[in-house]
Amino acid sequence: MIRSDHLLEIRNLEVVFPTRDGTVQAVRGVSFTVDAGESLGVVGESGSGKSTLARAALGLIELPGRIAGGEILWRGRSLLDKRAARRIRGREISMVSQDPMASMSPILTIGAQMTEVMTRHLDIGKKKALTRAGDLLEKVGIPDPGRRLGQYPFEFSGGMQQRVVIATALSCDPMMLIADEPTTALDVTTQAQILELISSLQKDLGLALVLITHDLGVVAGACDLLKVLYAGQIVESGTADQLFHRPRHPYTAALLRSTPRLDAKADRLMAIDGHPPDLRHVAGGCSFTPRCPHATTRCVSASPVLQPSGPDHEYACWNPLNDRAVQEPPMGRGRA
Amino acid sequence: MGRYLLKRLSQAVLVVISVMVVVFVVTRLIGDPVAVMLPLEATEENRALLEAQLGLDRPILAQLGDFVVDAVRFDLGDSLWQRRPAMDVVLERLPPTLVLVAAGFAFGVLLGVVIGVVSGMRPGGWVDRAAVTLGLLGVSLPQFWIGLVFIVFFSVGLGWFPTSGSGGIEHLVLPAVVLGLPVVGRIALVTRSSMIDELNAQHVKDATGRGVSRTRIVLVHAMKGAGIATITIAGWELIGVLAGGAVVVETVYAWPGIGFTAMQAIERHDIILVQAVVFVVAIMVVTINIIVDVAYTMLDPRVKFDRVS
Repeated sequence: MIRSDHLLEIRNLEVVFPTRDGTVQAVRGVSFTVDAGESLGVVGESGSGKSTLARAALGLIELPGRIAGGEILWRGRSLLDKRAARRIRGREISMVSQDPMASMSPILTIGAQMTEVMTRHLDIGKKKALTRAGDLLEKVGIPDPGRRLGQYPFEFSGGMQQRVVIATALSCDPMMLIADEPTTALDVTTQAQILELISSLQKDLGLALVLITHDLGVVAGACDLLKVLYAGQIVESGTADQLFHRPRHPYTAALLRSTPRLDAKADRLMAIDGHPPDLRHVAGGCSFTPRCPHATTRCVSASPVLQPSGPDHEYACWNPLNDRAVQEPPMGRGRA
Repeated sequence: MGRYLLKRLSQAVLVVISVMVVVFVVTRLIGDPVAVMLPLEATEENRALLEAQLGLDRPILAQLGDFVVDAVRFDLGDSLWQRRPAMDVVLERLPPTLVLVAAGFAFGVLLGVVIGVVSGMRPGGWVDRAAVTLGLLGVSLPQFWIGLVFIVFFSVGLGWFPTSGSGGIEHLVLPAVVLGLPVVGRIALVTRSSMIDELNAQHVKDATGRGVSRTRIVLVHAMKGAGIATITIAGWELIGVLAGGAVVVETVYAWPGIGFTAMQAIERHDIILVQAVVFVVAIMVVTINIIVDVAYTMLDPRVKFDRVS
């Protein structure tokens, strides 16, 4: 047992996927911790490695992918051990994924899929599990649970089905919930409801929450701490307030400008020029350099490491933005 | 469900009648039964007399009309060769065929599903590669040839089983295995690929993430999903075994079923008996189709009778 005081501790995690055209370095030296009851938001665009990070935390990296380095500790035990991960999955850490309609088997009833996890992990029989499943459905706001348990996923709407998935994830009283883009496949009004549900359940049950999303708006209200992921690395980390109002990394600032907001006046959204780097051929230096308006020769030659900028706030950049720079976006590189 | 079945049954009757019309026309095109039945020295008068006796001198449409009307009442006429009701001959020969088809089909489906599931769990592994090779062999080797090779090897060479005929269980083994081999191949290949699809589906990955055990994922989640494709193929296979394989295998092994009977009837230009065999087989085929469609709805809740019909 390795010493760790945290619920989940990820140390220097590296995940790679060998492909025909070279090895994709999906996660490159990510470290963070989550404590009991804490909520962490992981933000990044597609391909930033955020889903890989989520799956790694559940011991679900599938061949040919593998964890090339680092450590994942759950209450001090390594989740790199497949057997330990199997025991913990569903029981202590649970997961909600992106598309609720694809998340459950289309040909088994909701009841069967809710109880199969409980009868395995909790020492209860099928009948008790079914009663508990009904209670859980009620708790996540599904009326008439008795009838609903006998139905199939296709008989639910997307939002309702996501509630079922959440109820199932919570069925064994886990300590942590990992939600990977839980609202992306839903329409906007439903998104808000599902987020509210996740937040309130998190507070009621004292759950630790890892919320993974590409949408800064989603994590803003729901998470104590945010991590911005770019090209498999954490580039900035801080509270929602810090990141929204005083971002230090140019990528965070660009991400904010590309997100529609109601509280700020903006005529057009700023897209970020260029593309995320090809993670099969990672060069030295900062990965954001080709898209960064502030890049200097130093950014090309050396990788910046995370450095503190006040309590809870860290960034990895050679030329961080100061407070003023945010109010006046530097150089007109963005376009609609 | 009741309305659906009624609809399917009436469609089935139409299908059987259509098949009978086709068979009626084809049997009259392939040869002249009167010429076969009469001795070589028969005169034109003998010929005309026999044609009149058999009703073959009447207008073809009148013959067809009578034939269909009688067939609907399960009266197919007397066998020209055996000179007794053709239906009696067929029904007498039916049980051995049913035994053989049941044994061959059960062997084929059981072994095929086991091979398909095991190889689908680890695609690309050595078990999988061996299974795919075996499956392709089963599908592509002609049955009459396998039948003869098995006789040479297991009966003549090793003396384990009788070469042909019927009797105890030892007579059943070789023909049933030969009949079932292509079924093993196709069922294994289809089950394998749908297992691979199922195991890679998002809901299976998410079930793993929710903490469902691997055993349950393979045996319940993936196999139930893969079962839908397997049932479809199994229905076709049963039809193939019944309507095609049985004729070949029964002939190779002199198994006294309706397939062997059909071959004998064709050799003797006994068009009445051929028609009776086809009639009975057609009824079984449409029945199997209906059973397969009903089986879908039990496996896949998304398929409902009212949506299908």
